[in-house]
Amino acid sequence: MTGLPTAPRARSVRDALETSATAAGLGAVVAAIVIAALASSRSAHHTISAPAIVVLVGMWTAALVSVGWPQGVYAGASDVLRGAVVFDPEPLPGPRWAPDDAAITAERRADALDPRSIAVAAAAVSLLAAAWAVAGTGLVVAVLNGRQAPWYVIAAAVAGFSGPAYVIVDTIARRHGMAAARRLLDAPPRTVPLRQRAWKQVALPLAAVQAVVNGAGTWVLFHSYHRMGGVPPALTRHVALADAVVMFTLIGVVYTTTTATWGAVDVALGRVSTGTGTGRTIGWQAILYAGALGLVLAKLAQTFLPAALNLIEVGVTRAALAACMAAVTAGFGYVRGVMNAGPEVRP
Amino acid sequence: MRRLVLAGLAACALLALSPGARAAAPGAPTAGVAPTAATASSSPTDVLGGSLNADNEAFGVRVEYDLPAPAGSGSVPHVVADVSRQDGSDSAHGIAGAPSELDAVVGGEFVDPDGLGGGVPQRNLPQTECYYPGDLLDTVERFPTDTQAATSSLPPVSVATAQCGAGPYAELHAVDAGIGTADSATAGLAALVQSGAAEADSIARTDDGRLVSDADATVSDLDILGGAIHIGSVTVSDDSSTTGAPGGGSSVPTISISGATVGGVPVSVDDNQLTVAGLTAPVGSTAGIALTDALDGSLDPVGCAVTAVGTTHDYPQGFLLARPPPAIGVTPDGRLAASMIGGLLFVCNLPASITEHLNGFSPERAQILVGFAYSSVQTSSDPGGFGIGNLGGEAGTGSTLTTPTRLASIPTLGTITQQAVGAPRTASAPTGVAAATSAPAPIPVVSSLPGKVLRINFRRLDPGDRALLFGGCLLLWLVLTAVGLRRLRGVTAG
Repeated sequence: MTGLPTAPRARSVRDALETSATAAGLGAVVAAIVIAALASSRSAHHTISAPAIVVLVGMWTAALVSVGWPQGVYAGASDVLRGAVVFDPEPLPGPRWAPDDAAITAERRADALDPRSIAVAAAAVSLLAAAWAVAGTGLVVAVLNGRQAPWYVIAAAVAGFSGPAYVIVDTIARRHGMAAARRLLDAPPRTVPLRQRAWKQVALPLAAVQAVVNGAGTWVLFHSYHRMGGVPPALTRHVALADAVVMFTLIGVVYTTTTATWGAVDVALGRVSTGTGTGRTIGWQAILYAGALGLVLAKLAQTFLPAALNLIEVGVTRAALAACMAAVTAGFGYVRGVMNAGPEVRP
Repeated sequence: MRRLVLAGLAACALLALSPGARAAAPGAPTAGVAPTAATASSSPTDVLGGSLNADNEAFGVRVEYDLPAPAGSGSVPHVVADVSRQDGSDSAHGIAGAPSELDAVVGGEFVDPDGLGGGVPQRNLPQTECYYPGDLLDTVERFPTDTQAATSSLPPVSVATAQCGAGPYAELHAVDAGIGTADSATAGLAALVQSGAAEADSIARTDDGRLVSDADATVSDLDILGGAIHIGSVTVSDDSSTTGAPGGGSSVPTISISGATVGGVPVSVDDNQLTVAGLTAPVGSTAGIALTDALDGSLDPVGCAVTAVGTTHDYPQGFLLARPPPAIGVTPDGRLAASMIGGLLFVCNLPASITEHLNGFSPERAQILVGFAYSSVQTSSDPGGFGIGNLGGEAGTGSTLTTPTRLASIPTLGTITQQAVGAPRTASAPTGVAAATSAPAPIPVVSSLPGKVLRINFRRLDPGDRALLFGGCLLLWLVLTAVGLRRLRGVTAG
């Protein structure tokens, strides 16, 4: 009993990874279209410049991969714990293990789920993936040659250069997670208090990522706007936070669902301790309360901000709000995952 | 790996071939000053072959509100003309109004005085429209004379006329005795804008081997926010024409603003030169922007900011509708001549003393664009001086904006202003505004341009730089692709 839903049937590692890669690819394409629509919707003439595409693709790739790596690792571990994956019985190394198989690296890694290991790996692959995507976007810049890009060119660039990076990182991370879960079931890791794990090791880094992404994304979204006094559209406090509901919903849904899985996996592997615990489960209602709190914060920010803003002020405001929302939802989602894992699996 | 590389290259090729990648507006030469990049030059085809198009627009004042809902009180007076010929067939369309009905929301209480709703106006705005071919060839709308039977005996205070014909040909005029005049169609604007006589004219036609598109608008004695901003006279015009032959195109936008005081500071615009408190700089230049920024300081007490629009490639957007930029410039082959010019744009946070006069509608901001004109001519053929329809005497000949040919039966601006009901304007300055204007703030010294948009304009690259960028990025991308795929190899083992 792991507290995670039991898989209906077990598949080979290969089948599991192929399925997840397909889903990740489709998800990346859909996300690219949404990102392109958002970026172009607020730009003058609904087109963005070449530097804006570079920033957009680079930042989006870094954001996607920095969250995608830990999510992939935990998703892979979850597959093992749910019994969704069966391993080849042939021991490592064996005739069917090529010396340079990426799987060997995963299998020989001590603990891919270790917080420090995840943070370092996520940072490294984020930088590498962002560089890869930016290099690809450089080709688009050369092709555009000073012309503005409409939404479908943006979508193609995001899907074409961020998408493969995310799919590859997700696939590798899942394999590392699978190997880590198999190893940690036999040799449980050192236990970490729930509060430290949830708020310091999970919520804080994710909040930092959101702060950077939303801060930088502000330029992409609003670089066609003018401070009041210029030719409209003008950048006012209402315009700056008009999409707060969308932002909070996205952050809330993504972080509460993903970190809940992380919590359940950590409980099943014995990484986190809950103390005596209360034996209660936590429902979805609290997430709605968190979302409502975020909207109140946004409204307060609108009230206290000056009527006309510049890009830096908007960036700082959006970054702070996104970070707050990410910290609350990620930390809460993780705690919920732990508490709902079932008392029988909690240490 | 090979598949991924091929996919990447295919994506790049797709982007390169994309027809939607648009030419960047920044950096293009100013219309009427220098030709734009040359296009394929060719001799014009015969009169009836090919195609031509001339369009233009002008208005005196446009007021738009923002939040809680984008809405407008209309453009006053407003003319929009569009004529074209395709394979020897002429068409023309024109709209003239004071105000027109082209903005997001216009009229309000005026068009529906009894509050019946349902979207059906009870009283028409003074707008008229013409089409050729069709029955609406020569139309006129007088306000309030033609509005309702009950007002048919009253003299007009605003008139719009539109004539369309073969040639192709369109001639439009809109005159208003005074924006914001009590009981007029623009009475709802009184809290924000009031003016003396205003007029807009447009003509688009072929004339003696030239395709001509001219538009102009004038407004006199304009007060904004009860006199916090006063403009003695604004005249804006944009004249484009072309023969269709190489070197035959020209486009001349002009604007003149005189007798203006913005927050008590004297301002004028003439020949695209902005003069603020005796300091002169070209509109849109760094010094010119610094001057308007300095003006902003004097408008702080009334919550307004000002921008001198000048010649522009981008249509001055409203709060609601995003209008794509038209082709602007004069091509050496004579196929295109177009330009656009605007006057002063004021964006104001509206105090309660203003919004309480708006019948329960409490917008947060308003933008007021004073003076706008745009004209464009495009042809791939010899425009000729007549069309088939001229054989029947349908099209006007030799008319210009200053000597309209078809207005004999229509009151002139002078007549209208004399007949206009209403004594001198009675609306008083809103509380706080008058006080602000009585003691104009000194113009601060501007050393930088704070708060302006942070935009990186990525210009066209030299061929060598472009090749270097492409090659370098391709190399780096291939190397990193190899790294990524190497990490992926054998990951499904086990």
